[in-house]
Amino acid sequence: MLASDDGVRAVYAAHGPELYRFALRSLGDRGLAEEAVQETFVRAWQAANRFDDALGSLRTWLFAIVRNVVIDLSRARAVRPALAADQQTGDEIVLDDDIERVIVAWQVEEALQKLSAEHRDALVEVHYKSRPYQDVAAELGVPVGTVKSRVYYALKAMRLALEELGWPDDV
Amino acid sequence: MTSDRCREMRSALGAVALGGAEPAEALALRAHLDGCPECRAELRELMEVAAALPLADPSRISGDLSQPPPALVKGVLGRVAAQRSARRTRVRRRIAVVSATTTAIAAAILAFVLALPGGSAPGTHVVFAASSGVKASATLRPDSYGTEVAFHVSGLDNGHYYWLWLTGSNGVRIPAGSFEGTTAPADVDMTAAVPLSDARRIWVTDEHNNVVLDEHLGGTTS
Repeated sequence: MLASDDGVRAVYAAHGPELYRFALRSLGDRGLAEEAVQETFVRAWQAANRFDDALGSLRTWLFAIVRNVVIDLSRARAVRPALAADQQTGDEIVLDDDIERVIVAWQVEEALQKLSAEHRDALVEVHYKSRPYQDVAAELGVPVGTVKSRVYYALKAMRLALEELGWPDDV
Repeated sequence: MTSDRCREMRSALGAVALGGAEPAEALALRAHLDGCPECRAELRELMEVAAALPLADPSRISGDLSQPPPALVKGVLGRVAAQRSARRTRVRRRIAVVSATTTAIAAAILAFVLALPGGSAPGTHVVFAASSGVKASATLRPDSYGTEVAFHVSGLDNGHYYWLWLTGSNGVRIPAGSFEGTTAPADVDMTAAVPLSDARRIWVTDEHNNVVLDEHLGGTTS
């Protein structure tokens, strides 16, 4: 799978961009995100004999790796104040929880990005801007039922996108 | 089964999932859900999505998925290739296919060394019992790190990895190193961190931890 340049290229083409987006979302720095993707592929190559496609998808496996890489890079970057040993342990637990939260946030954002503009706008106006359906409908010049139906299809499309991204339990 | 009624309910499903339905709408949906397991299941799925929406930061949503810089794929290929060649170099350093001439010279030197009375250049020569086409011998010499093992082997599976071990008198196995096997004869030089005088066993395992070659050592130098 990763034994040849072509293999690496194929795996990168399939998963590189989303690994990059996840790393960028988690680390907030393009340079670090690039480093994270490179390190993910190196670790994947080193552990390629431990990948068992009967146990899960390649995607899930790569995300398990990038998650650890992101945690390592976050730790390496963090300027940590001198803390007592027990407090440091607590600190790391928070960091790992943060990673889980960032993963779900990133999945939701990735799913939102994949919506059509019409569906996404309806959801953003109604949900994130808390605007009444009537106002959104009037502004767009469409019936209220159309806005509601767009919201329905937006949620439905997001559900499918999130399932592709590994919902409910994966990643 | 999805009916016309289910389709009519779709706009209410979205609004109810997001929590912004009008009372009459919510009431009509509830009446429909009582008799429609498909729509109930769908509402549950949509509510899970709705529950996750607050985690996202809407300011990040532009409709464009940010793409990694085009050069990143080269970086990835370069880093993996560097790993690959580092592993090859490690193996190459250990394996030198010995020409007939050097083998002959080595054999002559060995014969000379072993013939020396008292062994002024102490070494132990081991010929392994051949097993399933694998033939091997080793010359062990003490050095400052432990024991130097000059291992000569043929008949291994090409491209598979093997480990050479020494076991000390305390029963603890000490790795001398790993190497890539070849069917053709190959020489592998390795060092194990155990004194030759203390080594009791020399053995080789494959990738699955099976013992491929195994000989006992006297624990004294010849």
